Amino acid sequence: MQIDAHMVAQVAKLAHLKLSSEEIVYYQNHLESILGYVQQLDKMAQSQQVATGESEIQSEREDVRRPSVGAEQAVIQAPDSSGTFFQVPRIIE
Amino acid sequence: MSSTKISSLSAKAIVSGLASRSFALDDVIATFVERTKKVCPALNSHVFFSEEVISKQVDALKKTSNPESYPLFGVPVLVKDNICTMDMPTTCGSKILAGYVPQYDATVISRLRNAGAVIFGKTNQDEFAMGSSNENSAYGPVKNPWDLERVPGGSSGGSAAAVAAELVPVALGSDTGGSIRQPASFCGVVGLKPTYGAVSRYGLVAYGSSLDCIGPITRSVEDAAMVFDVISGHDPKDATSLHSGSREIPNSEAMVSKKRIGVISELIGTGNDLDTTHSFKEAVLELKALGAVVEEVSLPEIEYSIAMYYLIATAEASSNLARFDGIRFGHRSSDPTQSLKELYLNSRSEGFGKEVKQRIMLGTFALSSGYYDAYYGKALNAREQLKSAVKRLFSQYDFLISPTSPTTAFKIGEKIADPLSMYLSDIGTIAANLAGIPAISIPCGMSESRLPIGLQIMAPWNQETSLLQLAGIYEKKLKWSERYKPNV
Repeated sequence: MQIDAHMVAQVAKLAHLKLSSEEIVYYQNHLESILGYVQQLDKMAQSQQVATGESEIQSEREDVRRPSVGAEQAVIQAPDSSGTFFQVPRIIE
Repeated sequence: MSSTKISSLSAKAIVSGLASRSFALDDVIATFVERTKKVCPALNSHVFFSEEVISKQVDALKKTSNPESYPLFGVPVLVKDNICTMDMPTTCGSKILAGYVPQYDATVISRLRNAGAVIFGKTNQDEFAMGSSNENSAYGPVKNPWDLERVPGGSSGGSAAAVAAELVPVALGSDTGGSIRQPASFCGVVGLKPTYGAVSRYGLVAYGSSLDCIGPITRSVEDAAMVFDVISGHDPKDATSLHSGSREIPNSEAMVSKKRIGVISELIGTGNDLDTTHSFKEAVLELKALGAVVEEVSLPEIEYSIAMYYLIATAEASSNLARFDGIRFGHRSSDPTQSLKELYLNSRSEGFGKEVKQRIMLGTFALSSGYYDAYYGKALNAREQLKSAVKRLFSQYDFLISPTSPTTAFKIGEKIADPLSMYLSDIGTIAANLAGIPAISIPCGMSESRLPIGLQIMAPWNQETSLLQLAGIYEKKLKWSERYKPNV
């Protein structure tokens, strides 16, 4: 699979990553080599079974109210907070 | 007892020594604290170590009225830095979580504390558990205690190096594609990856959620079993947690007799180095001498396991690591003029390392519109076929074995520029994660250049008891850890 710089930039955008032009070249080479390797899966006969990737073990909890960590504790590790709120840059001018 | 002797003791010997008053809790703690201060700088095995935090735990332990009822009373345990601890930072070896202290303990940590263990610090690792050499840590590479110019393996490299160097008798690691077993093999210690779901992942920072497992790294199989017994069991906080009972380990050699063991032929080929091939053949002879029926079996799907893994694990990682956005915790970019969107981009780009960005992008690509079916969907389908093939093999065999890794520990810097070559070093371990079966690595030999070699034993789902029995019997026969020790 051929990966060009535009495609790397597009994937980085989807992944919320900002890349320098040197990084784009670096990842272009690496992704091309890795995606070339994983294409060997084409050689495996595909079964008709549809795989969902969901775990076979899924236990459900009872729907009961439990105490949670609380707002004061929740913001304690925030890089920027105001009272019990997370602080973010202004969105509406 | 001298401090040198205490540092060599197993967890079991420490518990019984304390119970019989052969030595005091303060002697044990002082021994391991002094040894850590002396050896740790050369290995770079720790990312957090605090005598104050240790003292607080010891003071609390001293107040307990019946120490004999605690199965790990006074045992120092190190913890990989992707497992949440509320009295120590949890950074995952990443800049993006520098200084982050969780508000809660992971379930495995609560269980260890309730069993009387002393959490002795946090170990260095590949960033977010992404790596096979421990060179991808934001806090520098870990060195292998057998040869300081070589890697300890990864991603639980700090845990394996610390146990091998007798800085603790027990450490916890996590294993998504071999991250407990491969470093255990490189460092000459025991590493157990349990059945998927046997040990709660509540409080483990997620990498590949359908693959991640927490397990013990120790210097004996018996200690691995003791720790597994404490940390395993159902946890309502983890929706993928299994119900399981207690496990005792009989030492009878008769258990091996007539057991059917399959050697995976695809993992004993030309890709292995000569020392590994030789030691593995010796291990097969030893198992036959114990009465097992050992024969080659074919698992052709395993040749595709790395391709499956690097699509499934990275797809899951790209989703799991989306939570690191610089808002709720972790690193935030400091530019005061940035918009909200720029804050996300800058915080993530400044905080994540090279390999993590690569895997996030690989996973994002595999899940993206137009490529999902051709990559991620195909990998899921292949994984189901691998699982079915493993199930078929276990209908004929009690265990499957292989070398844990195709080579011994490689030099620092040797593979870092070529990700594919690094990924290929995990060929022996990944299938157990994809299938969800338990697997253990135990030392089985030594290379000519005095580097440890590991034997991997895999068992059917939830068969940790028989897996640990076989590994324990083999270990007692070989007496590897009595013959070899690193010079650190």
